[in-house]
Amino acid sequence: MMRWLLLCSVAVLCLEARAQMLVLPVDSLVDRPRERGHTIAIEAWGEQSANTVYNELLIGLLRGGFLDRDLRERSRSATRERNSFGYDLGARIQWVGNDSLFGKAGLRPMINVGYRDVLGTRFTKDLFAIAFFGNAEYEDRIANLGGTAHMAMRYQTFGIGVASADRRSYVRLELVNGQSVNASDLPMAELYTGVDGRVLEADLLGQYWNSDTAGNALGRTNGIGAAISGRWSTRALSGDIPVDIGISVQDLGFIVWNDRSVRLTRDTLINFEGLVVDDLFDLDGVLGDGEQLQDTFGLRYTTGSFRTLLPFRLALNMDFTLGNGWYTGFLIQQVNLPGYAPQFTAFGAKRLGERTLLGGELTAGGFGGVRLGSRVRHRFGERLWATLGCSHLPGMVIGRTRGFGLQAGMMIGF
Amino acid sequence: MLNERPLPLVACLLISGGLLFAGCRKDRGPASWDVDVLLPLVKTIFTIADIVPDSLLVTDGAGNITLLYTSELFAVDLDTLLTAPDTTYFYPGAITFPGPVVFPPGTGIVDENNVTRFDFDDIALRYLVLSEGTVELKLSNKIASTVFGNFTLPGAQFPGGGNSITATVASGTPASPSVSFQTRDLSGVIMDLRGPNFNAVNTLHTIVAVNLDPNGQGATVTDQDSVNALVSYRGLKPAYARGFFGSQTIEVEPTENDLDLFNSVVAGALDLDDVALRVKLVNGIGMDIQIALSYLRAVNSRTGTTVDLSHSLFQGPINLSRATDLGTGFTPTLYSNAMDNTDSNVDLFLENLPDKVSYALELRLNPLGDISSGNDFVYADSKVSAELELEVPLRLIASGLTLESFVDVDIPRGFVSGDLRFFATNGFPFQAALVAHVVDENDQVLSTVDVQGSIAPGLLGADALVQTSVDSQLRTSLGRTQVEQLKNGGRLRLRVVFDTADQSQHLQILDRYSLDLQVTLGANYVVNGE
Repeated sequence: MMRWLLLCSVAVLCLEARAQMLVLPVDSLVDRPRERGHTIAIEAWGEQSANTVYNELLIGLLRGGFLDRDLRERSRSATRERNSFGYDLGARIQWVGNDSLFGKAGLRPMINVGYRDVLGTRFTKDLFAIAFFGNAEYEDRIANLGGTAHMAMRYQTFGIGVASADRRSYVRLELVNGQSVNASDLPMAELYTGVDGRVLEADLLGQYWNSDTAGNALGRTNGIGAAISGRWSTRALSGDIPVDIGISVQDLGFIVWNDRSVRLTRDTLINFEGLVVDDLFDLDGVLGDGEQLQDTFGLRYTTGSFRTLLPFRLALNMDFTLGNGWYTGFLIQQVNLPGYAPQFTAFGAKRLGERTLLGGELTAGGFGGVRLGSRVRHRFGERLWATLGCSHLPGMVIGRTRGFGLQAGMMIGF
Repeated sequence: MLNERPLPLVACLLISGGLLFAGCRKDRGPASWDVDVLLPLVKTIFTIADIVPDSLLVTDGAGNITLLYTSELFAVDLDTLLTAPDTTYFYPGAITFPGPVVFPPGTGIVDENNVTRFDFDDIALRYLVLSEGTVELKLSNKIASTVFGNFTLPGAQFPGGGNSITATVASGTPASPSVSFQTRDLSGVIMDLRGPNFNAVNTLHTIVAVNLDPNGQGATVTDQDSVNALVSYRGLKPAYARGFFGSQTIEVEPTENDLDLFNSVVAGALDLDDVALRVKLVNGIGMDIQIALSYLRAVNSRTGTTVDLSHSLFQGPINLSRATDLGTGFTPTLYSNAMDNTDSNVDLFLENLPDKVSYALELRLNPLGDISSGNDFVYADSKVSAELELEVPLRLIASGLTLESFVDVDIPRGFVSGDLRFFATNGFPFQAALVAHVVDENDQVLSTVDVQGSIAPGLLGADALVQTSVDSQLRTSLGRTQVEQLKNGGRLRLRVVFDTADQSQHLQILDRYSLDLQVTLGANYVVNGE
């Protein structure tokens, strides 16, 4: 209960930059975009989605404790040959200055500090089964693990840029601090478990990357990079209906991870029949010897710097102003993460009075299937806006559904 | 229009799913779930060298294996035979009447042409070479004049030349004597212990002289004044000694030596086709020795049974003639006596599977007296020793021969229960059965591990040699209780029971015989489990 109170008590957002999943349009009465001088906005978001695995399993993983077999079995029965899962956790604070920049009207300065923790993965049905049920049921069978990939990355950005006077368009250059990365890509992988476990045979083509394993705590710099974020927006008419069209990119850039990073590239057939020992009665330390296992499987990392693209986001949106406080529109976006498919969101919104904008949305794609979300933005007084959004309302109350996300933010104008 | 004045920023709390659920996670611990794993653990090739160290095995051209085991019974060395105790001699210098007497410069206070007699018990040494030791001259002067002391060893040759120690002591008083210490290393010194006339033993010619400073003022001396010389020999360690070592008898009391050959055997019987035991005696000392063996006993402390070796060797003393002195070393004399099944009960002796061998004997030195005219000798590395050399061709019948081993199992945290599956390809003419228990730190059985199956022997040909290896499987189950016992400090006690394939004839073990063994694990394992 306390966490929901916490949730509800959180101050909320309004960001013109439409940085994350927000699809609420800009309303002239609620948002008063042209009446603001400086603004400081804070937002935080957390969203996970999956196309097969139920929330109850993911919640169980987050909450800890023992995951019983029935719970895991329900998600397994839903898995397909190709499955995906991912999350995006982040927060940012942004200042947008008053019009104008260096005396030039129509431009606003912008400073932005952000944190992002993302995971994207695609995996096979067999990989899920082995991870959550073990390989025993694959006795004398081949488990297909090919096509599996994942990327988990944490980084922080510090950006400066300029925004248009109406704040609908901006461009921002960002310095990126790479905190950690852990990624793999297995285009082809099969695991055969012999009868009675007498052999494990792995046919493997893949790569693995990890940033400096000495540590990845917040504040640590394991890589440095650069990125650009921006949005271009224009208004057109469709008949007599105004249409706001926006194209945006977020975190389009790279990180060069330091020379203490590790990577592994394998294109091999591993046939494991057990560790070869000299004395069966003197196994002390043999089975727990990670070094020997690494040697046996040829899993010695190479150390050195490498470069990765950031999990950038490309988006296109169209917002239709229908009049009388009604809006509709859609958003198409793609994120550079394994398992992420193009995501389409359609929304409708209605202004309630002069201070509140309430919207509903239907989303398909991304990591998951169809989600039903809702968002609300409210203006407190003349200069404080708060936004709260949920990307999948059923996910708040039903365990056997997929996907869930919360977004909250607040903006102060002065 | 908005107020241009900056507003204080209200603190904001950020949310995420992880934040929402963080409170619960502390109580529950990390997520865990059980998986059923099936994987190969280890594989090994088991040969006879895994039972008997290959350093003890000898293979002939046909691949027949013979066990060759050597164990030292006893050794008598220089330290037992000859010890040189620390010795101190006192040389006083004083007048025996009240005085006073005026001594002019250079007057001799002490002048002794003397000998030092060492106490070597019954040993009469004529020559002694030292590897270590020191001689110290302490001069204490109560006379009001500087004195010069000189200590000479005419019977000693120092490696660096010279054979004396000199010291100068400042003038002293009866209340406050002056003292001087001088030390000289005796390493490598050759001592002629025949004395000044070359007709004595254990006797070193010494000369002590103390004089007033010839360039001084002389001294007025009373009976309270004196000059004392103290000569101390310390830490003498012989490198070589020559003389007559006496006709002593050394009793070696009943002694028990460990025999580690059958340490792992805890039960069963072994029938050996042929056994040879050699008693080897070595005399590295330059004197005649008789050895009388009272008994040699195989002790099986597990069963409490003993078998005394029976052989003519025990009926009379063994005469060991003296070693030969080469001047810079020696050539020992050797004695060897072999016994086998035909002239002794050595097969029964060994089939008792002894873990200890006990014996008693008597060493008689120079039983015929000083027949070398005082030319017995001993070097630092000389010794009289006896060893047993056991030669056992591995042609045998094993009946329930049980080898025991303890394994400290490092159970992974999440391991709940499972099966260990053994896949054997056996090329030995043995059948092997496994008995496993979980035992506590006092080897008390906590539980019995269920074992199904056994390892079948290789198939024998007409020549009683294994012609074909045989595959077989054996499975052990570790239940939850046993896993908990192992996690809580229990150990796995494994007993492998061997029976030869044909109990009616002795089977030869060949060096090509082997047992290929693979162990796999089918287990229920809890990821992130405790």
